[in-house]
Amino acid sequence: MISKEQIKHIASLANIDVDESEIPHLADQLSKIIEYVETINELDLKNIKPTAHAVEVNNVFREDKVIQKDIIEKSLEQAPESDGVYFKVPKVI
Amino acid sequence: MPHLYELTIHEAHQKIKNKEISARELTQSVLDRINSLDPQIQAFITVCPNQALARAKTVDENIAKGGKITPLTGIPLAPKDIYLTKNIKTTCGSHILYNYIPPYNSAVIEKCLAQGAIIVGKTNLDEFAMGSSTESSHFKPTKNPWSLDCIPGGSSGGSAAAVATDMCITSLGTDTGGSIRQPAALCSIVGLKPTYGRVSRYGTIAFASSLDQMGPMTKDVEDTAIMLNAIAGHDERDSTSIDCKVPDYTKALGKKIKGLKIGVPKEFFTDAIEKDVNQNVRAALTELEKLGAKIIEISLPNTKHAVATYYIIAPAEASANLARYDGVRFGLREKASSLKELYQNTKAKGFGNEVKRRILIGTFVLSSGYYDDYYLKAQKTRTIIRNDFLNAYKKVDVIAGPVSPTTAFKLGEKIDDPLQMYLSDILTLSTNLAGLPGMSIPCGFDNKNLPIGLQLIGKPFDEETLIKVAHAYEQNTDWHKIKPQI
Repeated sequence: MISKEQIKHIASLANIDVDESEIPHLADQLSKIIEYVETINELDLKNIKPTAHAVEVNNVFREDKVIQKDIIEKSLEQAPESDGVYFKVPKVI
Repeated sequence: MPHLYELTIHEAHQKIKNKEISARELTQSVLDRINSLDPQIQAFITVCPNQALARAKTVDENIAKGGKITPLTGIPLAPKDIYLTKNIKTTCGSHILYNYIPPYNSAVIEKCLAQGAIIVGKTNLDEFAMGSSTESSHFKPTKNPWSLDCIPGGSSGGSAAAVATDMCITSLGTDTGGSIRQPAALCSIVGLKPTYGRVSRYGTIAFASSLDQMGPMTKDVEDTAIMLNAIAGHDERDSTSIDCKVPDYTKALGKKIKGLKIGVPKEFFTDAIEKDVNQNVRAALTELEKLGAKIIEISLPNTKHAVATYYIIAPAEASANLARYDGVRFGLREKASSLKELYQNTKAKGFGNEVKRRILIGTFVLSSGYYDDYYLKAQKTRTIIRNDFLNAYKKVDVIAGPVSPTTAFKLGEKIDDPLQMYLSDILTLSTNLAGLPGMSIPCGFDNKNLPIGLQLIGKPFDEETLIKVAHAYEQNTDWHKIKPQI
């Protein structure tokens, strides 16, 4: 079971503002989903290695050099608010 | 003569090559088709007639100058709105990206454009590809062309509906848990999810990075081979793309399947499978047997754990991937007096219910104290599921079964019951968990005239066998030629 308090906690971790009125319904839906996924507990997983990627992947190194040159300007074009070459956000400190 | 929009890639290519038609005529025909049908079907989020016609003109000029004509030159393409397309709005079906115009193309789009394809529009999807019905799109639900009160499947429902109704010559989808194969089955088109790592994920909006794979959605199997030829291959910008040889997939067309061993997992034929689906898939297997294949019953004993495993891993990865949509650099920004509030308000307003649910589940299973109980266990279950397949492939060359336990369900039927929606993915999820290639091809209709798909699952990097079997079946049946009456 996921409690209403837990919903508030994970919503805060995920940076999503959840309306007080949505919490009971969310707690109910998430509890059902979590209860269902817990069915994997019936498996014996001792000595089984976890799989992160189905196909084995290795670390890839490359030279640290700029390939796309105009990316700063182009990226800033999409910014809701910007100042010079910076993204602008509400005051942090 | 058929309307130009009805053509497949290979048919249109012949006509372009023979100078019977121009890219502009073909593009105009597709755009007219979209104009007349899309108000009913709602397959497109964005249609870009001006850009498409301008590009068609350039393509025609190149052809006139004796430029190279590839199989995709002049072919109108409608990618799912999850592929970044330079200067064409890319929303991923979400309000949070309602105004996003990417500054670059995804690797797959880059490759198609380099071959001369023409983007006519971007197709609808479940928000961030999270769903099996295309109903969670922020913008609108797409209708199933075979029955307008039914869902087209999802998450690539817009692509499937657009291909089925000839509103494009070809499309591209993405498949994280069945999102190419299930809508392909429910709309009676061909859909292929390649092996994980076969196609670059660079520039395609990420949902669950260890499961996502890009693939073609086409009118027939030959077109699938052509599209896979165009998009497969290593890309150093995607560290999970695999550097191995890419064969010419069109060489797998027209090959005999005599002696090929097809495994049929008994776990894919439970009571949850609708009678008509069961019968049609069985009939397809009999057809393959007549063509010389050997049908062998196999077991994938952990199939029933795929849904639980998937709905831990996919939300966990999604919660990490979707953290970037925070109102700072692009997309929606809500008013706020602090940075934390900016994130919280933007996400609250920008994400729909299903996306929020999955982010919360993902955050929960990864949160302190729960990681070992959920995420780590799911990764171990993933190993078991993958081993089931690898064991089966010691005895068989390819695995076959249904794509979806049911045909298309009614719009609204499962939207408020996420668990029921998740369970409809039971037959497709395990392929993604195991990283294998999977394909859906039309194999008939139920008693309500709703389409049914046959699923083929291959060994890692063996898309050729899927195409070979699918083509052999298609050449001996007419299902792919039957179009929705609309």
